[in-house]
Amino acid sequence: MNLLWKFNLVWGCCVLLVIAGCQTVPKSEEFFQPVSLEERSIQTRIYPTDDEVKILSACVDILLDNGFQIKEVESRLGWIDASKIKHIQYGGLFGARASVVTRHIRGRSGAIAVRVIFHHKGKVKDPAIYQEFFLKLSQAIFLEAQQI
Amino acid sequence: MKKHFRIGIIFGALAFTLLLTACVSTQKRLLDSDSSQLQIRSIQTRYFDTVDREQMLRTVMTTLQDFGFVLEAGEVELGTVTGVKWINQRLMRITVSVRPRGETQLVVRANCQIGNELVNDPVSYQRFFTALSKSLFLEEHQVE
Repeated sequence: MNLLWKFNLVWGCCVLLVIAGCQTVPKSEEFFQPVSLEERSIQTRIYPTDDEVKILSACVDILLDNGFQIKEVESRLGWIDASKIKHIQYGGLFGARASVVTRHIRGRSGAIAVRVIFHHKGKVKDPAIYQEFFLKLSQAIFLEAQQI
Repeated sequence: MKKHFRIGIIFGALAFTLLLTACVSTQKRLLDSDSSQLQIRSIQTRYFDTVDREQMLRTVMTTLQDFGFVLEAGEVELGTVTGVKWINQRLMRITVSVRPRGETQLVVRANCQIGNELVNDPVSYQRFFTALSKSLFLEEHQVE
C-alpha cells in the first residue's frame, strides 16, 4: 500500500511538471501586435477646440463623476490614468481602469483627438461604453462653453 | 552530549558561512546581464532628427496605445513613458526614454521586460521603432 502511494506521488509530480511545462510562453511576434483600426476608431473622437487643458479637466470630471479615482495626470503630455475599485455583493471587488490621451492634430488648428481605453477583466471592447463616455464629454465641453 | 553540541556548532557555523557566501554572490550579480551592455543598448536605441522632446513623448504614448499598452507612468522632465500589457497571463512592461543628442537629434531608448526577463530579441524592438517612425512621419506630413 505504501509503495503504491509512493508510486502515485511520483506520477502525480510528473503530471504537474508536464502541466507546468505546457504553460504557453508568449512569442515575440505577440509583443507588438497593433490593435485593429476599428478598435482605434471606437476609442477615439476629435473635438473642435484648441484648449487641451479644458478637455483634460472635463475628462477628469467625468471619470470622478463615475466613481474613478485619478491616479496620475500629466497635462504636458495630455494623459490621465484613473482606476476604480468598488466593493460589490458577497465581499467581491469590481476593478476598472481608464487611460485617456489627448493630442493636437497637426495641420488642423482647433482640433484635439481624445483617445480613451477602458480595462475591466481585459480591454473593454463594447462600443456603447465608449459612446457613453464621449457623449458625456461632448456635453461637459458644451456646458462649460455655455458656462452652465 | 558535549559531542552533539560541538557537531551542532560546527554545522551552525557552516550554514552561516554558506549564507554569507550566498549573499556575496547575489550582490555581485546585481548588475549582471545575460547579454553585453553595448549589444543591448544598440538593440534598444534609435536616433531621430527632431528636437521636439514633448512631441516625441506624445507620439511614443500614441504608439504604445496602438500596441495595446496601458500607460502607467509619464514624466516630461525625465522624458520617460512606461506602459504595461498582459500577454498569455504574463505582464509585459515597456519603458521608453527620450533624451536630446546634440542640437539636432533625440535618442529614444525602449526597454521591454516580460515577467522578470529582459526582452533582447532585436525584431521586437525593430517593430516598435518602425511603428514609432511611421507615427512621426504621419504627424510630420499631416496625415490622419
